[in-house]
Amino acid sequence: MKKTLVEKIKSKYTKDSQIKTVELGNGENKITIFYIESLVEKSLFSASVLSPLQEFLKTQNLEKTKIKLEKIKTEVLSLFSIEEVKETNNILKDILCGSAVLVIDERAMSIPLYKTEKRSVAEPPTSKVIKGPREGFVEDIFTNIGLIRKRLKTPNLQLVDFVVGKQTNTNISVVYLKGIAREDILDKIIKRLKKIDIDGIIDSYYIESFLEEGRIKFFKRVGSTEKPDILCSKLLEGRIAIFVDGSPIVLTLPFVLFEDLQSSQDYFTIPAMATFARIMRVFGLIFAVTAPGIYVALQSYNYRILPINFLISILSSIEGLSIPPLVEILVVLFLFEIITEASLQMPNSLAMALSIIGALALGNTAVDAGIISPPSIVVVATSSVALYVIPDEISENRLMRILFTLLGGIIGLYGVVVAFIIIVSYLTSIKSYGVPYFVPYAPDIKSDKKDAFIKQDVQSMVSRPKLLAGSNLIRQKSKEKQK
Amino acid sequence: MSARQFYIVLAISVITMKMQKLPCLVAGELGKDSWIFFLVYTLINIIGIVLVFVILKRLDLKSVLKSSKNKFFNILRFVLMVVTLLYFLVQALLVYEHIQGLFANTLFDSLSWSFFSLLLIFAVFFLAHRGIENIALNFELYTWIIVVSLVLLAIFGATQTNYSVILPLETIDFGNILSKLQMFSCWFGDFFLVLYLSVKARDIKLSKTLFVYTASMMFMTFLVVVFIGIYDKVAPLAPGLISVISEQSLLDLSIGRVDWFLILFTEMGAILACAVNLYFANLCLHSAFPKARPIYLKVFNVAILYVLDIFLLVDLNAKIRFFCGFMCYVTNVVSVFTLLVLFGIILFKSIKKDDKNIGINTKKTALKGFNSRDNKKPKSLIKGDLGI
Repeated sequence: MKKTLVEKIKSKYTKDSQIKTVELGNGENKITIFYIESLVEKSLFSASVLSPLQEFLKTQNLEKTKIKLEKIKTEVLSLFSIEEVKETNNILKDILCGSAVLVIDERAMSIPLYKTEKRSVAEPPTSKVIKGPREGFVEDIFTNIGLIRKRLKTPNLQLVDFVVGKQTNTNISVVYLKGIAREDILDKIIKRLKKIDIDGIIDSYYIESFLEEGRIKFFKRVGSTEKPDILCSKLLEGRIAIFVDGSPIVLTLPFVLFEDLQSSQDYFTIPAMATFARIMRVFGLIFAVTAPGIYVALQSYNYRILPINFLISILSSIEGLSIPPLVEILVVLFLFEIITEASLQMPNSLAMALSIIGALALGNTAVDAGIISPPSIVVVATSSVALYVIPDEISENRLMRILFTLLGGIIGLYGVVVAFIIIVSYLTSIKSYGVPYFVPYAPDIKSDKKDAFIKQDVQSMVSRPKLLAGSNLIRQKSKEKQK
Repeated sequence: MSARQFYIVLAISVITMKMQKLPCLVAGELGKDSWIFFLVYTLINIIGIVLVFVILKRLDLKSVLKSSKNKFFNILRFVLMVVTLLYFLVQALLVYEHIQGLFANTLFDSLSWSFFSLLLIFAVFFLAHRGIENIALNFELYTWIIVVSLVLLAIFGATQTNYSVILPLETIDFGNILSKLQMFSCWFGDFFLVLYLSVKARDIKLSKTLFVYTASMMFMTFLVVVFIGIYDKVAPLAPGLISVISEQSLLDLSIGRVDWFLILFTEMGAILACAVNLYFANLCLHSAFPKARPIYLKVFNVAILYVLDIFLLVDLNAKIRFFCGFMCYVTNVVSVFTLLVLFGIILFKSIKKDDKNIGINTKKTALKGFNSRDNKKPKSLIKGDLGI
């Protein structure tokens, strides 16, 4: 005997006690509703679905008339955007996504009732600003897209939706501004997303690795942000955003290195200050990565570079140390790395204790015991602080710092310079969806430099970045024309 | 490569390749007249660049690098490529050798150069392997660092030097200068760089090229004047022009050798210039043996560079006379032969101008795919592009 649709659905979830069934009516007019208690908004379900249905059924002569799905859709549940679902697997997918599925007369329709447990929109911990908007993305994709729609009230804001992950069925939205974003890049991104065949997408990081081009995935190649205002400005420049349900981090493409040197704070201060801050970030980055290596190189081989008085003071500090400079700085670096890792894992209540232990052990005891010298602590500490001038690239910079330290210790400044050249050469060869990594400096694009190291005021930024935007390059009339 | 990148590569390469050992060697031979040597040198290369542009106006170098139906042309191309390969390898070697000299006292007295030079050889190989466009991007990125370092060093040096050393002008011995030009001719041939860079550059102009080249060489000549002014005070076998200028410039301030960082920045330009020469050496070798896999040729060239540096030129100072004596003939032959062959091709082309096949296909270049990191055989090695 052929199974009914209700039986087919029930046979699929026999062991899942979470899926509830409500049956209304009788005979040919029997209505069955499937839903998961923990996923649907109970009050909405009761007030807007169950009660109106019961009222509706009371008014009908169930023995003489046959109730049609369309009638329920238009007369009872007209508030919802309801779609008919055809296959059993899709019905189950909808139930698992938080919809209530109503079955009548071997036909099913899905009523979106999902309840989202979400935190409120708050300032993200990684992009705090003194001035400027404090909203940050949350884990709910609809809220996040709403935050963007609130700022970009244009029909040109387009969305392409996907469901990725065989087990997680994660919603992913590609968001872009039509007429501004490059179509070829958009096609490439969509093609890559369509190719994803994975059991689950837990966070946007999972998607990031699928979107990265190239074999060596050491350096960051996909941009990310937690702030709607930053994302809006990136969309206006011609970038494409990828929202992943369950992640407060929105990915952006194409990515260029200079993006990470910009901060939202730069746009809420005078251009001169923003310029100064950006230059400091670059110096901070180079200092953070190379300082321990240069220090070891200077101590081991190239000490003649140092002024004599400075050299004397360093020599007096390291007097009595039993280990070579390279080992010493590596010890300090590893101690720092261990403390960093431990502080990330440790409960907040113990963090203070850890800081005290770290400070005492490193600051006093190790120096007194002659294991390490004060200059090496100063170098590693300042380099570690400097790492945070670009918080988005801490991971790769922490590893490069160790590489430069090893080279500086083994072959002095020669090693540091040659390694620097190799790394920069590799970076210049990287392209993110056809856009060179070092743009607007290599290749040099004059018009794009208005928002680079030397930041100019908003009125001067007449055009969008040349390689990011498609044909629509003009953002505003030039200053003269506006006058 | 954009025109801007072309000018940057040209300017920084000619300065960084010449600011090394050449001024020391020339000053050792010519003393106060060394700066005249560089002026004459500039003049000869200006003529060379003009000739190169005359050639480029009538002949697309890309087509010369390709195989042809004509066997004679193929043999000629093979010989041409081998001799130019020699030139670029020697240029790469000279820069490479100097980089070792720069770190020799501080580092390689205690460490093995033959082992640790592998890092530098890898860097040069890596840069050349990634292609001239990538090298040009690197040049573009470092331009300001290198230019500011050079200018600062020149200013530091200019305040310390004794300009009267170059006087009196009437005692200049031009005969001696011309003979030394012959001796040091292995450093000549900046027009070769222009010729080969033009394969990858677009929209370059003769006037701008001449301006950039002349300005760079004038700056170089000024550095030589500064160097000669200081030269009295230092050992005859100075490690390099820039080191000497730098060494003297900040002594009075007692702030150590912080200027050494400026030298390091300029050395970045030297490493990139070395990679440019190696890239063109690879290009020539690939044109000579178009059927071989590019990666093998690249490894072969870099291995040659390493072996020559370690085993033959372990001490350039000691062997410089022998080296220059031998290389001057090679370079002269390469220069004259290359120009003659290229003019010959133009002449041949103009005689056969009625032949439709003579049209050179500039779109299908034998070098297509050469820069790419894949080891696939270039697709466009189509025989008969010259159709002679």
